[in-house]
Amino acid sequence: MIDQITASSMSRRRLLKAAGAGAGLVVVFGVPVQARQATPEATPDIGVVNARGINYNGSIVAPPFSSEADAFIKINEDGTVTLATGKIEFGQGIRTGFMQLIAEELDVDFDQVEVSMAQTDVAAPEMGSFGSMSTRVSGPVFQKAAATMRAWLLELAAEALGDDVADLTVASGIVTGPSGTKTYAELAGGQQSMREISEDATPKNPSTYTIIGKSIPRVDMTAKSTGQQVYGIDIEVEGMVYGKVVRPPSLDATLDDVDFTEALAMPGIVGSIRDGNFAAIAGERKDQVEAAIKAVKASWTESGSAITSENIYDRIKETADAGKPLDQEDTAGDPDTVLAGIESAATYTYRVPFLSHSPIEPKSAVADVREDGVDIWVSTQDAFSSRAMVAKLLGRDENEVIVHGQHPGGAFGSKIVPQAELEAAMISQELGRPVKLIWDRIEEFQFGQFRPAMQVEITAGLDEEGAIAGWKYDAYAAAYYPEGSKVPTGSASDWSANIHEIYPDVAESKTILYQGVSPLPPYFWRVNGATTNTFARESTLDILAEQAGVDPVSFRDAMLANAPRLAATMHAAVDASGWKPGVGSTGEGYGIALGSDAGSFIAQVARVQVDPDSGELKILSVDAAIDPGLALNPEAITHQIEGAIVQSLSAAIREEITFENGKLTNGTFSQYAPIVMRDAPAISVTVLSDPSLPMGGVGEPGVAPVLGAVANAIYDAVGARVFQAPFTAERILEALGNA
Amino acid sequence: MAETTIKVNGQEHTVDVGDDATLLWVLRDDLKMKGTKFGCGMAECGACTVLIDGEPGRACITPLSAIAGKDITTIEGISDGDTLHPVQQAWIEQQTPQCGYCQSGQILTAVALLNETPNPTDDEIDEAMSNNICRCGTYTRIRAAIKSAAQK
Repeated sequence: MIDQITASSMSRRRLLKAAGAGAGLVVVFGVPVQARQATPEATPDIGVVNARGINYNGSIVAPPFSSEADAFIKINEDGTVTLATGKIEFGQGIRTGFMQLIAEELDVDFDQVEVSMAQTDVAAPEMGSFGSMSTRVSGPVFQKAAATMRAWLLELAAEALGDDVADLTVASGIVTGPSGTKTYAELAGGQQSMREISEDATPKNPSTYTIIGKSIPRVDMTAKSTGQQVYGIDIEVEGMVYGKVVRPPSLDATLDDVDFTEALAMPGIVGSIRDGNFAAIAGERKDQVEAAIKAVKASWTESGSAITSENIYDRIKETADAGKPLDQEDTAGDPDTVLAGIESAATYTYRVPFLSHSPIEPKSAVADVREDGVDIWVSTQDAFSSRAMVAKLLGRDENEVIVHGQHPGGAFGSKIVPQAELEAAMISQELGRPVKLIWDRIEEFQFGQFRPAMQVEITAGLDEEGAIAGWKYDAYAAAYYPEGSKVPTGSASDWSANIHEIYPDVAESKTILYQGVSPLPPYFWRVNGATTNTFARESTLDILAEQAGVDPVSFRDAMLANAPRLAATMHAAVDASGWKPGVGSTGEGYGIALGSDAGSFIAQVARVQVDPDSGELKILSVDAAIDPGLALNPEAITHQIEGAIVQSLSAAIREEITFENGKLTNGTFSQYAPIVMRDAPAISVTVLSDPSLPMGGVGEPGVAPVLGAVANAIYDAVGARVFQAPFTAERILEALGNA
Repeated sequence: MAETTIKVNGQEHTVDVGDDATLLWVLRDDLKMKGTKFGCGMAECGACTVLIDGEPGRACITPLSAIAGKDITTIEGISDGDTLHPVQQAWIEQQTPQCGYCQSGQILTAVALLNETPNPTDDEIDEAMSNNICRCGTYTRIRAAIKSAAQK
């Protein structure tokens, strides 16, 4: 439920300004507080930036989520509709989805809806775009606001026509009654009125939907196929110069001394800044600052971290006590005692490495810091956190800072964390002119964030009927502890760790997540822990199914008596795949894995081919099914699942960040080697829709099951169980040796 | 700094730049053609792919001295007036892009492939397209779009 909200007079003034000088009707509403509370961990921590070399002390608290009625929908005087949201589009299709929701509720043509995104001087301080929450969390609020607007328009039309509201119909923004017609443009023209969202407003009955549920093509396809889409990196402002940061040789190094003399004498260089660990230069052209940065003489003291990508797993376990077990601890029954009495009970240990987000657009920003205000242009998933941190860094009031959020060229979690805009703002403040800053690829790898490495230990065994008798789940995740803090920054390592989130009926189970000290800053990488935890859980279920002597689908079916939607989703994927496990001798195999995330249910069947001599793995196909409840745009959902599968396959078979001495040892695309065209399998996606159910998230659910499905398929193909990702030929050969 | 003339999408442009300037940043910052993207600066991702005398090349590592007298084609130069290139049409029909950032490079690589091989097999598509990274994972759509464009 949305709390009834009272707009303050200050909000009203701001709103009327933001909603434009033009005439029109405005419905204002708050964005539900619980939306932000749903992901307290999503709050970026300044500690992450500290480690990158910004000299900034003090903690920062992201702005409390707006409970004021300052988000709005407006009917403009030409009859078009404007929705202002703090969310941002970056390929997940939410602009199109929001247009569908608004057009449906208001009975206007789809293309009459405009969506203003992530402009902090226009939108309410809405939560950013992550966690598959844009449509499912904000969408229903937008629907209710639009329903309020529609009721208001009908009231006005009834008055103007002298008809009863009950006798009016609306199509394409034209209200028709017994006495005539009124267009939304006529009703909004000359008005400058504002109303608050009404709790009584009733969104449409889903059975009447004509726009929601349709696969309307995403609206940005032409711009993105012609080079016309604008990204943060494309922004230029008058008088700007390029900045370039002097980077430390390794993480957590401290800057002892810096000498800019030679660099400042080079062509085009206009200035430099040193503030604690932060040092940078600026110059007229990008090539000039890149040449000059090499002439900066800096001396650093390195921290000499002894942690490497090899010993990290032991290190996480050793240091887990430095923090506290994550509060995600779930116990049912007494699995310790139960498991102690089962001879066949065993512990299975899984490992996943750190991963890089590596969006193709690196972090970049333009900052213009002036006495009368601050403007920031940046590709960001969270414009309001960006605003808060820039304001805090510069010692300015948040209302003095405007963040013009730009469409990111890929993000995957990495563009929640403000970095480039803080650096650009530091330099701009020093020089008194606008500064554009673009990270190069080495910076993007080395100084970004990482999906945390994890080790998962599952102890499980079967009862006499072949069902799970006990399940103990101990997960150890890399976590980042800001200096002096005993509380690690969140990395969502617990997502999907608790088996009850997926399989509700396991009677004896215990889940604990420990967080150990990490040399690399972990952060959200798509669904983060859900990928790891789903890999570990689904692999173990297949091990247990074999012990029970039943096939993996039947074994899961028996666990899903009280999860009918997930069971149905599993069977949809199985049917689509031509499920034929146990072929074995051909080196081909099928594997299944299930998941539940963001209110949606997902199942995937992978079909792989393994060469037992070389260990070479080929992914032949992935057949997925998703039940998101109401499917707002099935084709857009299909595309999201396809992309999630491909990126997660990259994690399954290729990606692993390696490091020593606080430095990456494979921080380039050619070394990190994400999957490319020749690795991509055939993919099918079955979208199950039930319009009577709420919309689930669709951006991330497709990510989690991939590793488990592939690991299970490898086992089916050659009888070798892989416990560590990525599943390289070397690891598969090693598993074959153990088989 | 020195004046250099380059030919982009059939038009000659004279720019005044230093020896360190690359084609990518001359296109983006001097000619204000932002459709060609920066991804890695090391010719490893393909986001900056342009056509150099019809062959795909990496603008991020191409000095202006290497393209004297050559024809450069960018994403802004492949449509015929208001009529989009068949590859662009296929891209839109298949709803290929997600974030879209890598797609200029993908499209130009596909254009070069189809110029050379009008009906490519899956293996030929793999061979031609596997140097362009898409982190959103649109490969299956790119493959479908190339096959669809081949029929146009």
